[in-house]
Amino acid sequence: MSHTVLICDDAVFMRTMISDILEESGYEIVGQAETGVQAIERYKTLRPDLVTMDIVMPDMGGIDAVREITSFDANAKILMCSAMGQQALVVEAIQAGAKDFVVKPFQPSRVLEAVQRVLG
Amino acid sequence: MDLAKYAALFQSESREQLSTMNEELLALERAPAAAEPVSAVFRAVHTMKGMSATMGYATVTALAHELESLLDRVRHSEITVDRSVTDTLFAAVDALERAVEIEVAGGSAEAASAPALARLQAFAGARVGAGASVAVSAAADARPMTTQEFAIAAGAANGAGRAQRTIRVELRRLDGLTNLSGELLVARGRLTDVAHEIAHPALDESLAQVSRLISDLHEEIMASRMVPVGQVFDRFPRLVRDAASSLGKEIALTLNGREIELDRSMLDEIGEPIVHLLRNAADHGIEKPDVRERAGKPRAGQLALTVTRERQMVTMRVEDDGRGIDRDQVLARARSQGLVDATVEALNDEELIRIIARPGFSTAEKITDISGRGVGIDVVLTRVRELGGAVEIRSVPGAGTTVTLRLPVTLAIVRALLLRVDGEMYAVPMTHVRETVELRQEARRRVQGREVMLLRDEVVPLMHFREVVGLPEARFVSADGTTQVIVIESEGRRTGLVVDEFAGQQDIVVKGFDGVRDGLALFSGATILADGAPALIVDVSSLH
Repeated sequence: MSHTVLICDDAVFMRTMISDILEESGYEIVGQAETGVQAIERYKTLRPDLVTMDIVMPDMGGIDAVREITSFDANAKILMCSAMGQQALVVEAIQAGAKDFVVKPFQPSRVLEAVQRVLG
Repeated sequence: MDLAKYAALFQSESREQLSTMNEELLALERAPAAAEPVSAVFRAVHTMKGMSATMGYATVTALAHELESLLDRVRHSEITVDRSVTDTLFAAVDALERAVEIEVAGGSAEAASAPALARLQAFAGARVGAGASVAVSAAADARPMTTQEFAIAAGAANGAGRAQRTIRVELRRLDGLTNLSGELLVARGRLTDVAHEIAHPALDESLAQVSRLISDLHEEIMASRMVPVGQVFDRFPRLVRDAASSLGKEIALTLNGREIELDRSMLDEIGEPIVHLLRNAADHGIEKPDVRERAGKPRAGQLALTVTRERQMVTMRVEDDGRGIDRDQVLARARSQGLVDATVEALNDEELIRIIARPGFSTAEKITDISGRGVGIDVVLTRVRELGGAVEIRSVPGAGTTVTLRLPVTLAIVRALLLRVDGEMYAVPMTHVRETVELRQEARRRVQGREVMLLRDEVVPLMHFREVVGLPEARFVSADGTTQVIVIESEGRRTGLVVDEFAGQQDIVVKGFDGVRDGLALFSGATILADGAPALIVDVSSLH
């Protein structure tokens, strides 16, 4: 059975691209979210194997969403997708419970490697 | 990975982000100390930076990066927002917009963006004193965001419920659906007639059901064509700001009803006329700040664009609190151009419209970049009438001008007056019909070789529809000696159109024409009437 993924990013462009990269490698995209609040809601209903999480999003950012999700499900597997210049935030996200991170601009191979590492 | 297929998505999403940036910068300009607009612009710029870096658009990324750095300094109160800051930010957003279009098209935006990039860097450099611009940008780069900063960036709670599922559909497809559902309505009309003759209960029952489904289907299709006017109008506050700034005026534009929905086809057409009205108001209506102060008004002019919807009509009102239209000046100009009788002393609102609606009529004292290139409000009026709308102008000297446009929400269906001439049906859109008249013989005159009619106090030229469409003259006079005349109006001029007989009113589904017969530009399209008969739609603006 293929692994299920929830994609969280405020840009359709980014969601589409991540979704394409993962689908091509056989992952099943079960949902998308464009804010932190949505990410939490959808995590609870969809229970995906993996979450990709942007950091800067309206309404609730990615790090708070990671905290909420991991407090709900300590085994949640979350991969942070951050832009350049947010290294300090990445560290914080890992402390909050994220498993790994990739930095935009994405290279498909890096994304896939990170996903495989997280799903381990 | 093939990035080309993401270019269109990048472009459309970037446009949304750019629109957000403009909106939020305007908010910042109004309230320079507010934190939310800065965070919102920062977020939009940040999102764009991520997308453009992924696409490999180097110039957009560089611009977004510098812009982000400057915004970051604003957020930390290292830079106080004043006019020079907002001007720089606006210029940067403009440059970003150009760079997006160029790079998406496959070009290099490096040269075109160099001045804006330099300005951003120089700006940051100048504000921190001794630090060279390179050092500033490097420093901004090296300073990652802290949690608190991030909380600010992510804080402003808006657009939380924006996660509607949408799909992009070509307008052509929607037009096709609209057409089909329109024809279905017409076919239903015919079917109802037939069922009425047969009068079978089971048939009536299923017809009633099908009929309801057809109505629902039609409504759904029409609804799918509707988009909020904000999609086009949201760029106007920025436009007015720029116009005001180049005119040395202070103008605040209030946009009301941006969520009102309009058929996409109508919205695409109405944007330019509204821009024209806004520019006119900024240029001719609203006075310079010192003039306003002397007149006891606030320095900043108020300009409002208000959209409201009433059933199948939408109203757009452009309102300013400027000097109003100078009626004496209009009258003097109209007299010198022979547009009014020398004895006319004053103009009421209706006459005022008729005069300023004349092609090329302008009282602008000088031509400016904003408006008044000899193209006056006539362009707006003509356009609005073509769209099946009506215009109303109220102007109070010293207090301001209000221009109200009333438009149908769709261009796909219009109300028409039907004529029967020589057994053929013709449709005249109701928007051009002033009234219908039973003309008595004694009200007909010949003036300078032209046939005219007396309509109350007015002399209106007459035109025979038979002659227009190339049919032989036939004296179609009813038993009581009257002739049927439609008074049509286009571009402020009235004409009496003599027809054989009226055949009622109907909502018709407009179908465009390919191949005009005999090169007659007389008809704008065709339609199928409820009884299945075809009818040509008369293009009233081609008459006179």
